[in-house]
Amino acid sequence: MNVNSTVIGKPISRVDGRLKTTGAARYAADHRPVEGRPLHAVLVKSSIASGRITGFDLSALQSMSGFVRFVSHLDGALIRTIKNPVDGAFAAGEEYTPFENDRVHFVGQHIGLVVAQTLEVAEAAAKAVVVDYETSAARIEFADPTAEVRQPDLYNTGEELQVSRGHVEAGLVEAVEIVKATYTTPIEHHNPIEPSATLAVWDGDHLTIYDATQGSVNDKNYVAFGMSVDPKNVRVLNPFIGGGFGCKGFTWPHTLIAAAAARAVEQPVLLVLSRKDMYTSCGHRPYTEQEVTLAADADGVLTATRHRTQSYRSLVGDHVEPCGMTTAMLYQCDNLEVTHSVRVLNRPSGTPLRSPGEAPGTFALESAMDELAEKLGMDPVDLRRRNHTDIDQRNGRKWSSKHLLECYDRGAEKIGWGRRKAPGQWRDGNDLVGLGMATACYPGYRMPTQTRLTLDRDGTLHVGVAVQDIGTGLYTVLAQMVAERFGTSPENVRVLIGDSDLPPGPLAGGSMTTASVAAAVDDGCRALSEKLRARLVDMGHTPGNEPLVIDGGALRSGPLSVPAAEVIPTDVHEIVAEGGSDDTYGFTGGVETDKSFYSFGAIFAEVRIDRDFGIIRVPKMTGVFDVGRVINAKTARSQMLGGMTFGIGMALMEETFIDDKTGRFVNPSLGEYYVPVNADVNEFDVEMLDIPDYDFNPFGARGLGEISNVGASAAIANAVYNATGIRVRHLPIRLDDLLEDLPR
Amino acid sequence: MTKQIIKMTVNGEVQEVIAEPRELLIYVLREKLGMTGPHVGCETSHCGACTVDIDGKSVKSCTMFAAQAQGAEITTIEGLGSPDALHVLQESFKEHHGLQCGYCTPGMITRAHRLLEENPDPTEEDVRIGMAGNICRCTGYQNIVKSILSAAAEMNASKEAAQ
Amino acid sequence: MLPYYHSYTNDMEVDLAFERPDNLELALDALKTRAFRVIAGGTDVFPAVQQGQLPSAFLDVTRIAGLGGITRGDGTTRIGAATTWTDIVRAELPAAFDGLKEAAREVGSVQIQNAGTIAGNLCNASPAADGVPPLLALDARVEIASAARGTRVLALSQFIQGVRKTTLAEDELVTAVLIPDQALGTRSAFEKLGSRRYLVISICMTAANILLDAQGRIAQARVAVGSCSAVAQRLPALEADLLGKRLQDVTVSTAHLSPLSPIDDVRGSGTYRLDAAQEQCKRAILRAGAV
Repeated sequence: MNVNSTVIGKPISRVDGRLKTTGAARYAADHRPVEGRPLHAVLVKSSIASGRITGFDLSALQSMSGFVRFVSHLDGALIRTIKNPVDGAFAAGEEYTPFENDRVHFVGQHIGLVVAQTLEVAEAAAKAVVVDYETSAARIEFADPTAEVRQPDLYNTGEELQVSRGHVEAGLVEAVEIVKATYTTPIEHHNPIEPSATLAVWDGDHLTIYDATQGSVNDKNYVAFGMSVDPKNVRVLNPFIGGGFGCKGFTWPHTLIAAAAARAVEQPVLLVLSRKDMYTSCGHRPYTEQEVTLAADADGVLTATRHRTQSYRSLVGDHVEPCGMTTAMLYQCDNLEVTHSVRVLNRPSGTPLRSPGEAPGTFALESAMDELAEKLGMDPVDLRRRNHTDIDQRNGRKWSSKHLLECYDRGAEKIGWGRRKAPGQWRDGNDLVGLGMATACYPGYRMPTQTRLTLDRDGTLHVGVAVQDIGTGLYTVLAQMVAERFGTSPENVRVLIGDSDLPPGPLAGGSMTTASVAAAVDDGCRALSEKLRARLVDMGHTPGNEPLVIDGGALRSGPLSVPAAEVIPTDVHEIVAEGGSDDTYGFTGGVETDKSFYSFGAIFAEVRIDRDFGIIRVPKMTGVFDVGRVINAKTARSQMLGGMTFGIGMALMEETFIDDKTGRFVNPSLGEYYVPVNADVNEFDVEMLDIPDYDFNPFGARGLGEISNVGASAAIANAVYNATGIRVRHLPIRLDDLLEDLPR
Repeated sequence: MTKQIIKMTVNGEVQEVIAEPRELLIYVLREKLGMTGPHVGCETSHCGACTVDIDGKSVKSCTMFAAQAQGAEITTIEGLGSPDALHVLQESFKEHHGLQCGYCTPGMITRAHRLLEENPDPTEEDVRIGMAGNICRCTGYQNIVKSILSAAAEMNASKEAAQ
Repeated sequence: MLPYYHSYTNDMEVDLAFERPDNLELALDALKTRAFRVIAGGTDVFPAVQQGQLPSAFLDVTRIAGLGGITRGDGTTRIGAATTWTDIVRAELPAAFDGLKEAAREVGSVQIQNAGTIAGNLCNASPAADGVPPLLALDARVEIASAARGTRVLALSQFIQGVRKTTLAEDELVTAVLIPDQALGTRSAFEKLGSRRYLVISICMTAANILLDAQGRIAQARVAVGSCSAVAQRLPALEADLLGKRLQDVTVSTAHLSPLSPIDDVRGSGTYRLDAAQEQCKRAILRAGAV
């Protein structure tokens, strides 16, 4: 690694900027079949939470000109029964095969699809379908005593969800102060601005789908399985994705339904979900109730930790919100118990939402740490320093690279932590002011990835890998990585991603893409370099030991310089090399190493609260992160700013309400589900330590999309406590949580 | 009266389309005029991804019938610049990283363009309020504000230079 | 450009109608013939039709001559029904309308203010309609026309009857909002509270129109609160108590708020809304009164 790189770490403008600022970037719903135009499809969703469909009355549809077809379970087996996971795939959103039978498990379940000539007709027709149901008792309320309760063993990463070490009861006896409190977090929805969409185009037994997915390879394998065709015959294209935050991570029923419908009507079908569809079609973060017990001795050393999370799952989706995973690893504590239980309810399925587990889990854990510091009379940062550890508490391994203490120091300095006063004591005009902080952390994940590196006769490098840029900047990052390895500018690199026909890579989730492609690109570049050197030798040149540079249309090594057009034989247009890595890190069953990989950070927030109305503003927020080497300063910083803004939404605004009687989500629109708007945000301060982690991959990057949302809500809640003396143990913090008890 | 001919000027070109009364402007722009810039995000006029300029005002084209645009002068992101010839605002969004996934970006820039027409020298607060009808879920807005303020400065400087 | 760039038609045979008359007579005649959904900016209509069936007939009133724009004369300011919030923000109006302008800037976002109209806000009759409290504080009246019965005018407080309920008959159209000239020197202010800073449904909002006499005592006061009852309410007891008071002596008691009956909902409890209304009244009065 060239530490003085002119490419890596630089604030290079994104290479897709021209397309995206002009409306020329094509998202799933912007694509069209090569010939003709697609039929438009609209979903018919169940309006009951439990029961079976006894019939459809389609009489109103038959007279609608432009109506083509209604597809449902009555059409027989359109989709092969899904097992989860299928070969070569990571996960489907649900263990459920759409249209398999007449069963209804939640409100909003897809029970039919209308296909029509135009969207307007499809919408009118979908509204005109009359569904007859036989309803059965539904378990919707979280506290329903008849609901089955499960204790799942593993999260989808293979990590243990029930963890126990030492003796918690003994640790409680040793303690001088104990905090025991219950924290709750609401149902939240991802709400990327692009709704999910699928265009399915069949050509014989070959299927091309343009899908708003965070994982083209995962999608390909599920769709191939569901359609009973060879995965080689399925191509998933997702060159641009309008955000995902987890809801486009796994393959969901609508993608299979669109593919099945297109086959049934023998024409291309475009299915674009409505915003309302999005609330029940592709997951949400489930409500959590977390009981946290922290016990410490007089010096603030933790003697016992317990974190019990209760959440729920649907009948067909197995997502568990893994809130206690952070607790199990973060602070030095020998006596610990972490449990997770889920109730099985007639609600739509959950799924990972930006930092699943970590975001709601740290709200509870880091709020409890703040409460413990208060009880001990300690500074909250000192309490965290006191319990800092260089050992992964789960397995006794050393961290590959951990600089959390520096994050605390830098963050405290930047926010002006020294200004902090006792709770309720800082007033500025009509405002109460407070400071709060929390630790952030997120696992380092890496998955097997292959790449194809190509040099063409112009001297342009091409890198291809079936990963996707959901907005993070991967196009640019890949160009930088290849440019770095060949001593050239990113402008000389063409990046091909968003196509499942390319060498396989992981889905965009778990902040793992950069680290995964880093190893693969490194190996691919090595392979191409070797091929090119061999070719130079064949040509009679003697390349030296200097790194091979490809720039200005020529290959150079030391004094040697040969035009690319000469290196590449005239009968071929390019020289191609493949490389990659089969290694998995961070998931159970991955590479055996003596190190653990995690990113860390510290978030500090200043809040100002209007004493008359309880309005909470966040004028300042500082995040300092240890995420390994930063590949692109511009794209990385933007993700951090976005994540911290996500944290403001989580802390103060975001919540989906469910009607416990009917099982309906009450506010499925951007008008009633509040996310931060421009006017809610101020200038935030982000710093990344930029310390490479070469144990993790050859570029030293660890990943950074998720961590910026971790800890933000706790930092704000802790700042609210510091400003007011009022401890709010639920999210979001509402205006009326404070008013009654505000110091006037 | 089921279908009607709608005549409108889109990005300087006169267009005639046949549309049903219930067709929304956004779908006519996308499905009949082949545009990929205006996006559908929420269908309830909250997210702003469908923002276009109609007769000199920012409007959300997802909550307007095409028939209501009869005779209108419409500018979409495609009318501001192209990948080979970026408008100052587009260049500024690209350089200041005022975007991530890019889905909200065409509406965001189209709105920003009108904002600067109405208020060529806005404060940060003016921008944050004036852009509040355009939701971005990725960036945290900071770079969007920076992009708009920087474009404003550049546009004002070139106006002064021209005088 | 999409690859199939060309127009196409289909053979719809649904009885859909979209009328866009350019004079009032045609509009009123149309309303006699079938049940039209009247539409102007559409900012409330479209989100609502997402939830149910799309009406088959729409009557667009934005091209009706004389229905847009603001005119003054004969002791009245006449705001045409199809006047947008942006039109109001940009209009030159006396200080008594400042509260209305402040409210106009808080309706949704700029895009919504560009499309949404004053009459649309009233006809939609949402308890959280931002336009209603300032118009109540201006003593606004609503002008309504029909082909059969001509024109009638009634107080805004009588026009809106409940949640999503007005006195408007099927064949009627709101043609204007009429505001009597305010005493010279009247000033006004508007306060809004929501869970985010903008693009937000009001939890509580207050408008106040205040006239001070030469000695700085309140000579006239109208205060209205929204989002705290099914229909926004004037506060007569408060208004009466304010008369003769100096600004520094203004107090707002819970008794003053008796016309309000806020409900608990997900955005805020009833108790919170009452607390907030009390403070908002004070702030709005002081701000309106401040010279």
